[in-house]
Amino acid sequence: MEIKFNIDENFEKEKVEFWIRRMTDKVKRAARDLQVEQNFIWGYQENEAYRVEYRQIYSIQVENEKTYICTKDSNYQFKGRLYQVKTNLPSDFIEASRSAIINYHFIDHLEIIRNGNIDAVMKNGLRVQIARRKIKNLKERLGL
Amino acid sequence: MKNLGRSMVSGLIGIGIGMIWFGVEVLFSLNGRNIASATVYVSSLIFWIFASFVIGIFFYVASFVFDKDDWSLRKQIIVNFFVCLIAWLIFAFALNDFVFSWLLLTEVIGKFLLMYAIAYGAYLLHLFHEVREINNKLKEK
Repeated sequence: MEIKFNIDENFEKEKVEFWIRRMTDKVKRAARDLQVEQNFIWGYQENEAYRVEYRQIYSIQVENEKTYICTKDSNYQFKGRLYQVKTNLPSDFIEASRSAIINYHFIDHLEIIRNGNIDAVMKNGLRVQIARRKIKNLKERLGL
Repeated sequence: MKNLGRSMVSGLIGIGIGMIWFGVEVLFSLNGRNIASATVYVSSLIFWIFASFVIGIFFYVASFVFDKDDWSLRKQIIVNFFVCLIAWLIFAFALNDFVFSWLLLTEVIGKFLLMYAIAYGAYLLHLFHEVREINNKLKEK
């Protein structure tokens, strides 16, 4: 694909145009990444709010009806539902199951555990169950 | 609409597997005779095409259990196995006017176990292969 940049700091409004034969997931992801204006979400620890940047997030998961943001070595509570955060996330994130989203750059490996479920073992040792029907999305994201 | 399309595909796969099965049974029924002497009734063939299609759709519906993320694969397979086995037994006994015999029961269960082992054995092998493939890719990163 040919990519052309017109860089001029005097532009009043920045815009991106795609000239494509058909819409693909790759283009949709690129468009979504370009539209993400905020690069962080607010996470809470003992009633104190912290800016958690997307690039730091390993996973966002629901446990006991609460949504938690997990980074390399901290956990924060997100005061909202998983679907609310899902729409704003960049394409580094994939849905692991109905109750978890993971940043695929931080996956160390997958492991089939004894009961037949599949765990994504993250680089910090965190285990997140990944639904078998989501494996296809992960493969696609990894370019397989 | 998506589900309807998938169920049709599943029905067609069912026809494919059913016809292989049908062909194997015809070959076994020959008892060493020349293949040219095999007789297949059109009515029987049409019935098995239709039955295979319905079985394929049934397997698709029964596979909805695999969408339950909160169940382990073991639990999903056990539930799916018994749901399919019961349906298969009803189907097999209906074909024999619900006349019970231990021989028929053993034969029906044996055939089912063989089909199930082939189908899910293949699925599990595919799953292990996919996980290995992903892990190799992750190592490269």
